Amino acid sequence: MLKVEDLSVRYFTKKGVVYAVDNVSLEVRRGEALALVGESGSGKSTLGFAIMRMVPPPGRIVGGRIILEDRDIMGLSEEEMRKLRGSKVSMVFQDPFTTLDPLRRVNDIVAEVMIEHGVDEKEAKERAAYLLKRVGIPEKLVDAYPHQLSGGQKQRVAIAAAISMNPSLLIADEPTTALDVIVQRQIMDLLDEIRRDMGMILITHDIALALERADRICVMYAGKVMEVADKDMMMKEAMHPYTKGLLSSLPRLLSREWPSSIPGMPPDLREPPKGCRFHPRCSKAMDICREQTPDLFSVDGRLVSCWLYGR
Amino acid sequence: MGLARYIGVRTLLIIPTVMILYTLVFFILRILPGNPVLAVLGTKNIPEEQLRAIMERLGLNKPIHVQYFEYLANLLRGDMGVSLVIQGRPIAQDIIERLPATVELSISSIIVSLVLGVSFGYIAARRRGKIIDSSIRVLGSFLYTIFIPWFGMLLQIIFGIWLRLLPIGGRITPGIAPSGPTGFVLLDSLIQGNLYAFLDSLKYLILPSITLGIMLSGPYMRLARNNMIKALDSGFSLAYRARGIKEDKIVRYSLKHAMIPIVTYTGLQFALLLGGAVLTETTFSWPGIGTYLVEKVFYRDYPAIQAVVIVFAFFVGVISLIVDVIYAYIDPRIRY
Amino acid sequence: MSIRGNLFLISGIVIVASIIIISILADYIAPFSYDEVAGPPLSPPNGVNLMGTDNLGYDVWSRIVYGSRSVLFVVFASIILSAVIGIPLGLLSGYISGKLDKALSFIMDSIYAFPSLVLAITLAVVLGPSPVNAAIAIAIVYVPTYFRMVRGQVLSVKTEPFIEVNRALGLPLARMLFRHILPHVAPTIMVVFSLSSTDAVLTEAALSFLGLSVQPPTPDWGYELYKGKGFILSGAWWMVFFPGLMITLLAMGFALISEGLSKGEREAI
Repeated sequence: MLKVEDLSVRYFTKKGVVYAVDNVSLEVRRGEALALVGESGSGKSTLGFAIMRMVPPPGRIVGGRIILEDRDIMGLSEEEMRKLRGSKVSMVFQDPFTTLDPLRRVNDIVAEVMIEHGVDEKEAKERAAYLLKRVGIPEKLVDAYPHQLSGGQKQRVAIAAAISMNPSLLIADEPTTALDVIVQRQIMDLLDEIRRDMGMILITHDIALALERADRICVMYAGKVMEVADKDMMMKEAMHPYTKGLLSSLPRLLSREWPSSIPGMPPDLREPPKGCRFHPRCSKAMDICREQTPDLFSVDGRLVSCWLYGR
Repeated sequence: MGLARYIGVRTLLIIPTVMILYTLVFFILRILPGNPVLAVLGTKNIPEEQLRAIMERLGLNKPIHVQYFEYLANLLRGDMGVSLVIQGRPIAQDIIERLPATVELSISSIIVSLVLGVSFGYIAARRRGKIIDSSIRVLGSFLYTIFIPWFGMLLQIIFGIWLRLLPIGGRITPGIAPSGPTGFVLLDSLIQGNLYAFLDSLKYLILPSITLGIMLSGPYMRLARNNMIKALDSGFSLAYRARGIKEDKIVRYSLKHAMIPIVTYTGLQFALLLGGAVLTETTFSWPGIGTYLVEKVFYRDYPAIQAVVIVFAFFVGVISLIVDVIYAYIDPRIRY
Repeated sequence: MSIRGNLFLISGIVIVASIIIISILADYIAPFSYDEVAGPPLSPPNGVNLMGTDNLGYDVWSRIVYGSRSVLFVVFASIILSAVIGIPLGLLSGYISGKLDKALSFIMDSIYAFPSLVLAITLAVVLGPSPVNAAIAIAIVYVPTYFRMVRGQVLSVKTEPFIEVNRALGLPLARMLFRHILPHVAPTIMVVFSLSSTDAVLTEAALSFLGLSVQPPTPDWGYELYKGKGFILSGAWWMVFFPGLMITLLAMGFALISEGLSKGEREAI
């Protein structure tokens, strides 16, 4: 339902051009949850914004195509794109404390999304009230102001607003990072339950969360895709050295080994490393890794961008 | 808590504020050197007993704390004493007669400054980073340095004398004033359906309110611009955009956010407004409390001066209350 | 410092310095004395009287030149007085805290909240009209400004370790305040100086406009404006335009300095 082809996003800052997203391709099928996993600076959030065509200046999409439900949205005007936002593709943000307008009632915030997209006002308000209750907001808080709600409740409101028009794709950018652990679980459960047959892109730095909640996982590093695989396959065994590093950094309850971390730091994206972006930190780096960027090779039903698996 | 209860609590707080200012004013006028009676009469040689008799009549002989409470008690009854200069004329009456004019001028000036300030600030926020943005910011920072009487007089010369478009002084063409219930000429003429008087008084109001309004608008430009930008850059605006809300609506919401500090500032700068009103009234011969104060100052009519200053103090308190209430209305976080 | 900050600062200094120079060299710059008949009364600007003459035939330009002395005197006297009273009080109050601080802050806040012009007028009336009294009146009105600024800075500097150390060493109060705390407060004071100078110019002009500062025939810009007001109807715009322009120019000069300084301070942070 969503196809991203060769997408590149760059930030043109005063201190240089940042290659935030470089020739990234991916796919999200109807109803599936794709996790976009990576460290800070991997480009995952930028990619999420790019799909909404909301990359903040000084950033810009410089190439590639984004096809949403058979429509290339790169060619759309800003006004046409605006109509899609909130109705066909929606976003839930990381920090619920700053993403709800404190001067408006929660019910109005949710209803407004529908009104903006053509729903009759009265109906929108009723539906908003229903949605709020559906996401777990108690009856008496439906007309409350955001500051009267807890963090978890605020995020529920944000989710209600995002799904109110039944978008085909829901992008959740670190939706639980700002919340405490118990609430995290509740919110993720809510997302699973409420999205039904909506596609979802779950952007997160937490690979454990991705393994738990997603159908497929896409690992990003330094603006490029490293590996894409089904959850089960990845849990059994990761192929890309980076993914292996991520997985082995997870503490395991029954294992004797300490979790290990990946040595080194992510690169400065104004001057990304030549060849494979991960090679400076890769224990298996070969000569070709330093020279040429590997394509995404299709191996055993998954995609890996690594010369270990290439021709 | 609800808006109503907040208003109630806030109103009660006026009392201590005004009391403090009353005390301050009272002591300023008495601690400083100089016998007020002598100052009025000129330092001629008056026989002791006569001087003492005058002072006794005015109650100036009693110990200070007695005077303090007596005056306060009288105030509460609405008696502000009598003028020293115009024999026996009750000051309170004068003040009540003059007050509406000043209020009219103040309100229209605030309206002018808000409209000017917010619209310029809005333009600067929308065209952020461009030349017009910097120009507006500079303008806003330096507008207050223009000497009010000078600006007012220039306007009088240009519009009143050279172009002969507008009158240069006074509040309404003599004789036309409606003897209305409120004392607010604009309101009274409307109430009586006297369109001619209404338009006429409007003509007189234009130059003074533009003068004062422009002088006060500077800070609003900055406030509006900075706070609108802050709102437009904030998380909730981002969220609005992600939901497909139209940009003009988002701009309107940002404006609402910007109004909070603007309203707060209006309350804080009310003191500035009163000072400016005094100068504006004097320049345009506007018959308000400002010109009353200046007249009394000229004649050294101390009781009247004291009364006026207390009235000013009271006003500062009341306005600050109104501001807080409006603030609570706009920002629900305050009252809940 | 940013370019714009520099620009403001320099232009402000140029303007204020020029006016100071004019006042010092008044005898050499002014073509006439300020109470000397220099032409027919109410003449518009011409070759002899660059800015015209007033109703008594005095040269407006000369009166402006000499008038700068009154203005500058009152302005500088008042801000120095304000600073001399307000700064030590602010230092003391902020450092000592407790009841003294509460009481002082309360008084200062009350004065601060009150319309400055009205207060200045009241004080000037009670003291009697003269430049010295005008300066005193303005000084009293602006003491709270210095007080609050300084006190605020002291409160934030107070918690620094080196203060604790000095206190533990038993440093006498005056030394502590002036040698150690004051230097940190100095940059803010400069900004407040320039800011309150702007206000002082405008307040002084207002007081003399109302007849509460210098008395005739001593020239003073505000007073010239007051005179000019009576002759607007006769078309003598030059009596109003030039004195008012000077007031605004001087005020703007100080404002430019304060904007330039505070931009510099902001950059430094």
